[in-house]
Amino acid sequence: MSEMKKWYESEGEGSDVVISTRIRLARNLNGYPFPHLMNPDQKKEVCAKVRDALVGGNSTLRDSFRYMEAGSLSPVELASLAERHLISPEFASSPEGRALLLMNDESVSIMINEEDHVRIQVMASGKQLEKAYDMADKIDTLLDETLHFAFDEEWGYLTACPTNLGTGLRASVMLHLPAIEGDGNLRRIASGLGKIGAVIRGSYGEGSQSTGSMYQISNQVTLGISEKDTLSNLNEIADRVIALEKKAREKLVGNESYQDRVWRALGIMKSARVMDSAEFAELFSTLRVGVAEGLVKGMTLGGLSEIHEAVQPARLMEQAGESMTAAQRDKKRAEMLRGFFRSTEIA
Amino acid sequence: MLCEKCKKNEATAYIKTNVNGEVHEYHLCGSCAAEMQDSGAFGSLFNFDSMFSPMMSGFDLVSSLLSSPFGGFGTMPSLTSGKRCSVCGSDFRSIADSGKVGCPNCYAEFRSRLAPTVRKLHGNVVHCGKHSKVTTSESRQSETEELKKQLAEAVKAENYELAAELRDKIKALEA
Repeated sequence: MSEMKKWYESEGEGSDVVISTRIRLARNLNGYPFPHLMNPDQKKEVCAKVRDALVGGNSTLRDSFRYMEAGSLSPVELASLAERHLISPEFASSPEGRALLLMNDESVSIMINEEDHVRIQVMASGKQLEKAYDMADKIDTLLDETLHFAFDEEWGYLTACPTNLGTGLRASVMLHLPAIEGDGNLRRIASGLGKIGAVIRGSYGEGSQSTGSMYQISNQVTLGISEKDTLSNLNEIADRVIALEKKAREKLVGNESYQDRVWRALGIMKSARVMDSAEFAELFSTLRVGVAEGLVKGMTLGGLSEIHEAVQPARLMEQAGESMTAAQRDKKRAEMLRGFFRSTEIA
Repeated sequence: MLCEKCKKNEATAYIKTNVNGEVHEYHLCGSCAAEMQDSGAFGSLFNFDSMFSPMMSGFDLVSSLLSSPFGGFGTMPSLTSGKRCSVCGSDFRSIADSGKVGCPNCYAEFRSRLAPTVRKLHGNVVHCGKHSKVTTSESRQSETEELKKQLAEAVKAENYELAAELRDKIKALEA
């Protein structure tokens, strides 16, 4: 990995509640079956075509991306990429014939031969839907120059699953919602989202449960709605949810028993010998509110994001350069956390 | 096979749901399938009563639509054989079973049979938003032609200022 500053180390708009923004575009090449029906030679051809379209010849992006054949990556490397949402868990689970183009700051990843031939993904910290989409749009336009993506006037971009027809755009914001999670507000919002073509899920997408009060809101409908309207709808929904969370937080942080929870969370982070992922997720969630609302000092939200990435299971093993048991990881995690939070204090 | 629910009518619909990895298969008659669909028993993607409601994956949903009376396939057994896509060799049955379309060309080959499902998923709408370059270059060409006509008219009317403006626009489009 390069030493370049990663996208998640900066703080975007509204980062007290919004963790990150993600844009995904699904695209396909004419003349090839969709990946689930491709033979190994066809997969190789598509990987090479996409790679050359982005970083071949005199491309201006030549030095900005790394090309990796997924089959040549170790299981730990794949798991680590999935933990950071740079590839999907499904992509990681069957890497043969697939490839990844990863931008140096990890803000753009292009999966080749996942469910569709090309999946362009852009990540940004905080709520930056337009900016992230602009980047995805630029890369899409560049690739389209040579690849001429499969397109139909009536059904838009053609995709392996008809649910993605049209713009092929999935826009999402990852929100931290500890204050409204428990008070019934979130459930009420969720039931209303379907009517306006959006959905709320756990942090790893379809079928995943929420961990540490992290939720992902994304658009559901892709046909008959433009990219611009999709983004502005989602922006509006996100703003409403953020406002509710902020209001509920005000009440929460004035509460002495919640302040006690934050202080205790910091105490455990600073002095635990062993910590598993589940306990970390819960304490992290509490402490994130503490940092956002000024209940602790000597730590930033960007710093917290960095810590969050650093102590995920696969990342720990990747950094250590060896396989570790869960018990070894829990010990290593606690050791790292003690270091990270050494100069964080109660405010 | 008899319908699993009423155990009276012949089962004509096959519905597969995947709820948090737990797969259920149903063989139902048309009316029981419709009834269960209405009651939300399949954890329909169309109404999010609760964020924790069971959800089908996109492919399972498409498969259930294509294979059930809602998509029209289950009631038209004559469609099970015949035509194959000239690019990938898929027939409609394999698309309906997997919920996955074979290749971009399948959308053209099986257009009329896929259309009801596309409408079910997205509503009766057509694409709006970004277009691929292939079509963009076509529209660019027609735009150029239109500008050329305007240019000829401007020259004829001796409106050289407008003509120069139009000429620059055409140059930019043709570049």
